[in-house]
Amino acid sequence: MTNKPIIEFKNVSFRYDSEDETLLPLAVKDVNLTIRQGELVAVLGHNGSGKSTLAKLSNAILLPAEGQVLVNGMDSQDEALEYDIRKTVGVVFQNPDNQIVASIVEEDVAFGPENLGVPPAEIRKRVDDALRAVNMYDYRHHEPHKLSGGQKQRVAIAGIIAMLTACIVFDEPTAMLDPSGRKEVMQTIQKLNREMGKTVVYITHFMDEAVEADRIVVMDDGKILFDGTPREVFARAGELKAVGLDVPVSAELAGLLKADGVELPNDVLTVSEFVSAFQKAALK
Amino acid sequence: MSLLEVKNLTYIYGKGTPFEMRALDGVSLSVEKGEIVALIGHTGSGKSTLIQHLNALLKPHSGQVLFMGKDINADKALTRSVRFQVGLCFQYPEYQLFESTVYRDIAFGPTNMGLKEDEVRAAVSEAAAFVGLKEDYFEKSPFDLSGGEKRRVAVAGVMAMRPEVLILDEPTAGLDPNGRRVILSLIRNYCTQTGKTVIIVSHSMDDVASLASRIIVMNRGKIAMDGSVEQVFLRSAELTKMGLNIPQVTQILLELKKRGYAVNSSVFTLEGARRELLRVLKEGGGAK
Repeated sequence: MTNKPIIEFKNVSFRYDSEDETLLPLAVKDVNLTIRQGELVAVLGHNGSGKSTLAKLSNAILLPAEGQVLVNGMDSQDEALEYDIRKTVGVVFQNPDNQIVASIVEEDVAFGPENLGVPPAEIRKRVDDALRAVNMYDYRHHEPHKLSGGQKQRVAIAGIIAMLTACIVFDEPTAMLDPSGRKEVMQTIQKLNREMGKTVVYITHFMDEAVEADRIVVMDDGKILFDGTPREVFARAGELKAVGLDVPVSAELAGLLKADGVELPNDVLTVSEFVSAFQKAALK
Repeated sequence: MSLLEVKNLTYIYGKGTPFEMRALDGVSLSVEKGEIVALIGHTGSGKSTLIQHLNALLKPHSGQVLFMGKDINADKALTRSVRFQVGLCFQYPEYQLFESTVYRDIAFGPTNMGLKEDEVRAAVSEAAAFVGLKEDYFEKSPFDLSGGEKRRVAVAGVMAMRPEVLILDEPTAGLDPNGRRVILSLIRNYCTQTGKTVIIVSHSMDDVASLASRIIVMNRGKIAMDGSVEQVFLRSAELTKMGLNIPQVTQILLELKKRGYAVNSSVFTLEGARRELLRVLKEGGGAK
């Protein structure tokens, strides 16, 4: 892909402050990573591997201790650029209940653009467009606390859309949702990327969700372990398991059968891929 | 006599207001000693409302909950004792940790039961062993632990009351793959070692398939299905309509069956699917 970079991590390290004098280990260690415009990148890693820290470094919620984070070329260390950086990269977090600030859905979505000083007429339009994009327009006068988890998370996403950021970073947005809520949010994210052209960075623990990405970055112990297409990354089942991760069920089953001598390709990721690969193997 | 019996249970949120919502509608079920039951259903189907009735956190608007044949809401002393015998571990239980040390947090339940100090210690050690927490964790602050460890401390806090029935609401939610594996295997060990009844609420059909022997499906406040794992997962079309899934390996087998292979699709685990597919290949399986 030759698109322009939108987020660049250059030799970035970060350490959280401890409450006492002890020095905590680095949460992110010498990371180099480039996210290009229009990409859908999934980030995997076990709890504590540095994924969320990476998300917060990407729009100046946290600042690197060493190295540089550049958003459209703007250095996150430069306080004067903070607003411009946040207008470019927005973050959606795991728990929808912690992200909703208003008592009416449309007011919540308006919160971001209001803070950016957008004129009222323009806010009205952005809020309506954003709620339509996430299929929550009919709920615009509802109270957020009465919505389901998936609906609340879509309202949180609308809040970021209304800020018109070119890039959205999602930090485990489906972790607290049931299967239908997960599906709603995943479809929304696909739409943002494929139809609206947003750059998406997507942190998840669900391997099946990562299959949908253009590219997967695997974090371990604050470092980037792998960076490649889903096929390249999930072909390394043994190494992924060693760092506490998994491969999609279809890939795992294919791996087991391969070990039993069945001739299957290395890169089966989904149910339908498995089924066609198995049909071929059965003919041999 | 069943260990736990629910008879025609109805519960309405906001009763008497214009916002009345019938969360449970004529629910009846019984659970026997030693069973491992999975309770599934989409958000809002009534699962949480149901489990809160099982240890009298909510009281039915009509119907009864019987524990060892007695109505748990009949008198206060009984209600109190049932709270210890039916241990409920909520979703994201680590948010409920509050004590200054891991030991004190796990000991909170047994201490409240009025156990003597040495009995409390024994109960805490036993529960910590079930969840794989070493004793050198006991004096740490629970807030210094990782997410997965906190979750295990919280689960141990319920196990330490040695409940006859252990209810876990989404015990693997939000954990990474390894954290999920650890929690599932410790629940499995707990079941084999104690032979106690476990009810697990889950959205993960793969977890359900690997743990439970029986599945109860809730939909719109009613019980939609109640049967063996096999019986329930065979009704995949109905489950999908209710916003639920079936395990991914079962989806694969069903798809192969549709394409004319002689596969047995009532297989729900990875290992089972591997064996079944090897059998099909060996026997030619009627491949087209």
